[in-house]
Amino acid sequence: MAAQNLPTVGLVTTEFSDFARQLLEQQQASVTPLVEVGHPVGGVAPEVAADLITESVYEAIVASLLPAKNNESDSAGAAERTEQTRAAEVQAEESEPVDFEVTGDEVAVTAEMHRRGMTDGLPVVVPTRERVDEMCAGATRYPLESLGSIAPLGGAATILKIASNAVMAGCQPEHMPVIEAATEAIQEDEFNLVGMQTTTHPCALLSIVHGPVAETLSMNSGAGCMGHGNQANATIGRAMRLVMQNIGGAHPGKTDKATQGTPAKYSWCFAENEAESPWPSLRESLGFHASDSCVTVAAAEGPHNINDHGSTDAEGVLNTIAQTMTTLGNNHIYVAGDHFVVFGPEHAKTVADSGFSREDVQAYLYENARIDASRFTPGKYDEATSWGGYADRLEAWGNRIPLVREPESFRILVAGGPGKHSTWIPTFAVGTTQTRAIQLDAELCVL
Amino acid sequence: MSQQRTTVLNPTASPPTPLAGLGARLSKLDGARIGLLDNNKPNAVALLKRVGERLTSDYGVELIYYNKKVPSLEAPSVELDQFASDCDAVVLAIDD
Repeated sequence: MAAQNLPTVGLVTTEFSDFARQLLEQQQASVTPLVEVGHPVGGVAPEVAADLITESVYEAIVASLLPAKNNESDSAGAAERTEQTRAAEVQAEESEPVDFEVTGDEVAVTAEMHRRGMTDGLPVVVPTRERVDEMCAGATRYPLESLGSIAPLGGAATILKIASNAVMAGCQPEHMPVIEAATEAIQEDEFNLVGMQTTTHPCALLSIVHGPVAETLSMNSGAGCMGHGNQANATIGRAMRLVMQNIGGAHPGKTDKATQGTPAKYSWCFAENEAESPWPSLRESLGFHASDSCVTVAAAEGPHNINDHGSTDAEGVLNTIAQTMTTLGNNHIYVAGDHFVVFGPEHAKTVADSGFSREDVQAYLYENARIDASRFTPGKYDEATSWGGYADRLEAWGNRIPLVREPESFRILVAGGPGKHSTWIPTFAVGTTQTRAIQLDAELCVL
Repeated sequence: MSQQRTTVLNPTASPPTPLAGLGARLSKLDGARIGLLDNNKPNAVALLKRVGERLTSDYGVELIYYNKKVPSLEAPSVELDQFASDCDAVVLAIDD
């Protein structure tokens, strides 16, 4: 609106005003005046919310739509704009992140990085020139090449900056191609990075690595693969979080507005267990070649366990999965979107031995993972945002509300080791999971 | 404490230079076409409706309503352009 030079006023609650200002700056719309109202607006009766438009709020809205009293002339306004723009440019130049020196040992340097808000709260490996150069050598692009602007604040993701964050995370240079591919994947429009980074929803970036590179990097696709203990799993996931925080500018409570967040935001990366999958690999099911290595990125809720020690056939296991998925508090109720069902190898074998293909599993879940409308309170109907409300659809759905728009939105893969556990991973759902081939064989010219 | 000096390669990046100054303003509100942009968070419409009632009562404005449908997703630019072309000014809600 502001970009079109249309007079615009933003109403924002006190808890979201700083966030709104930063987003408007990033979108080159900082000229938009904001008027604060009390927080919260949601979770109260509509008439209570409407009363937040007090006399002073209303007067502020009117004043923001009309010329400032001390600045009636357009030419005076234009001159002020020019002056303020120059001042902002100088300020931006002065605040350009530059390399800095710290006196003291590694502990002192880390403490300074904590103080500057550059860490995830855990100790980091200090990104010295030597370490970052070594990390850059593992990349498939030159250090100053940018992979784009990372939302929400739009910092440029140069290889140099990515490498600095990868060093901090504890990565090895050979991890860089995976991080590059994941950094590109999160910038696909359909991924909705700005929404993911700023939402109140507790979504973390999940990176799943597929194909030969997982073995090359000694990644864990087996027992405990979503947990601790593997360097590549742990550090690639952590590097992506640091990239999103330090280059994208998503800081908890400020621009990252997650109400509670999730421990998965520290790091979440694992490899698909293709060797024990009874079905073609996920990447092959998406059209990639068997020799391709890929990374899948998703804005994911924390993993939800599915325990089934009793079932001996596909319908038994899948019924447990479907019943686990049909809860009211996830985003899929409102906006459908992608889910991951990560089968433990033993559950996968039980299902496949019953003759179920991946498509059969998806079809079963599409038909059976539905929520009876009687479980909803009426207010929930109004929250069915991307469906445009449930009321007109309930009859067609037989009063059973689906969690996806099409069966393929259930992403089926195998990971983990022995045991009767699988995992359901709900997602932010306002955006689409992306899978991207990892470029591994670039030969950079040495100048 | 060690007097060793370590150069840290800054892992952060600058956002683009922000614009500054005053946004566009209306010369008068009387009879203006005011767009109300609802982000579809609960009660956003209640706030905007109250604002619209007051502006209509005090200035005889014409109200144009737009619902963004999914709060966490940017509105389609085609729809926004059409909405913007129908309005003289816009009041939007960014809330929770």
